[in-house]
Amino acid sequence: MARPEDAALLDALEAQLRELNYVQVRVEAMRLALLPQPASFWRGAAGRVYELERSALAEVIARGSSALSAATALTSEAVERVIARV
Amino acid sequence: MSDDLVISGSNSSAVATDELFSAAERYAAMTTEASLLTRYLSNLEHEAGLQNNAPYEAWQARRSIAEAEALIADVETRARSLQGGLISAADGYGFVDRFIGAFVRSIASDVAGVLGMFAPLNTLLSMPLILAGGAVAGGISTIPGAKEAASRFMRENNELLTNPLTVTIEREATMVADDAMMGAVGIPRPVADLLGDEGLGISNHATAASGVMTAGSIFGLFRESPVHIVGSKPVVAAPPTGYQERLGRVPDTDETGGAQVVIDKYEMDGEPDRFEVYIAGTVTFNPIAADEPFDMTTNMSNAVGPGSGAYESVAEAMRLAGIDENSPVQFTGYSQGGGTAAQLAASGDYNTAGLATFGGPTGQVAVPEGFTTVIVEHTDDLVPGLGGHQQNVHAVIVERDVFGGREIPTDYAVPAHHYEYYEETARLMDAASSDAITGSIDALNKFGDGAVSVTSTQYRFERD
Repeated sequence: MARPEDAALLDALEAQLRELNYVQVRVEAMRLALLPQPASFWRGAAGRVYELERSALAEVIARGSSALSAATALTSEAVERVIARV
Repeated sequence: MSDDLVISGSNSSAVATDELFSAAERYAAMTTEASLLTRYLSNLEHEAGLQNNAPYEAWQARRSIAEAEALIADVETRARSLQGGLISAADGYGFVDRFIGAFVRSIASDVAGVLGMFAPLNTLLSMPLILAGGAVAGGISTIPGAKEAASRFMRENNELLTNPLTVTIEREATMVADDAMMGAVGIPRPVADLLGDEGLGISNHATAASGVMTAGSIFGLFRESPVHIVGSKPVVAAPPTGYQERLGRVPDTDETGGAQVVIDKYEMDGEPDRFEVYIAGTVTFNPIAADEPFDMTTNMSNAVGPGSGAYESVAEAMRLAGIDENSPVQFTGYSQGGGTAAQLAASGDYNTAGLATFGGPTGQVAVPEGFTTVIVEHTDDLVPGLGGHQQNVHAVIVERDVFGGREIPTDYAVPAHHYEYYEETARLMDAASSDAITGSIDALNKFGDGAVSVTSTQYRFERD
């Protein structure tokens, strides 16, 4: 049982955890459904530049997803720490 | 390259492949989604309202949320940039395509006019010679073995005919035939320009087709005649659900006992009946009109305007099916049937709700806006080229270079026009993901939604 002064904090952290899970699912769905596959419509230099940009975008999405995972894990740990307080 | 679908039209200046448009649409959707998620994370970061009693991990989590927010905002920026780049490329390609097209048209029109002006006798003589050549060819066809030998020669040497450049030249020649005729009869170039396609439009490719029909009729060719029904029969059918199924509903006269028109009647609950009209392509290539109205005479006549044997056949079938000017109707046609379908939709005599043509000479048929129109053309197919420049830029225009980068088969003289390759294109369209292609088939399919029954009838017509 959390201390009375931690109750509001616990509610906020648990809400944050739910929201982060929700955003994480949407980012993953965005990556899977909206990120185009490597393209065949351009060849040569234009094709290479496009592919570099597409790969960079995929990388940024992956880093965003990792940051969200870290936030989720840290929030989860924070919740456990607050619950553990006596 | 041969599986690439190139999309244009929809009143847009962009020209690109289905893959490119699809990618641009995904980046656009990603831009919207990333923008939404960035705002969401921003709210989360600021609303957390951490107190002094928050553990270290909570503060660390807040920093990770800020980092994620910045990264997702970067996703939005990058996706918007990629989408903009792709659309700019499509617009740029479309601009260059139109610029070069206009330049070539201008030159071709002048050259045709000058050639006609300086060689009026040759031009006037060439028509009977061509027609006489046709008659000789017709005569040769009666010699045992000659027709097969000529056919084999055409099939084995079909590279020139199955070439996008040949089709482009053919389109230009179709469009400037009237300029040559005006030059031949001595009309000065400025007056010809004023009367032509780029001027008042009084003289156009229909004028040239009309001239050929008039000249041909002297030799017994291309003589139009009334038509009459010789039979109809009901068949079992279900509404088509994709481009391939839709094309598959177009009658193959070898399999329908000669029936050239199929009409599906959708009975609606509490609404007027709806109708799908499917129109066959050319059945005979004989330039002398006999019994078959889906013939070369109709091909010429369709270039002039409504009223061909095939047009009158379909109009009569529609009347027999109970279609009036208020009945919602969709047209689908292949080859000549595509041209006839476009003429019927353009006539204003029907409540047209949709049009799909495959390999039809539709370029100079002014199909009105206000309903879904899908025009499918192979860039190495001569038949759509006979329709001249495609002026229906409001339609979704899907093009494919069927034999670009692959060997041309010798089964047919003009393989890119053959049904099986349009069926292949229709299959690729069913697998396509750009909004233009998927949105059009959704709209065409929606026409039959809510039908309580479907009755399909085949109609066969002959000339009087």
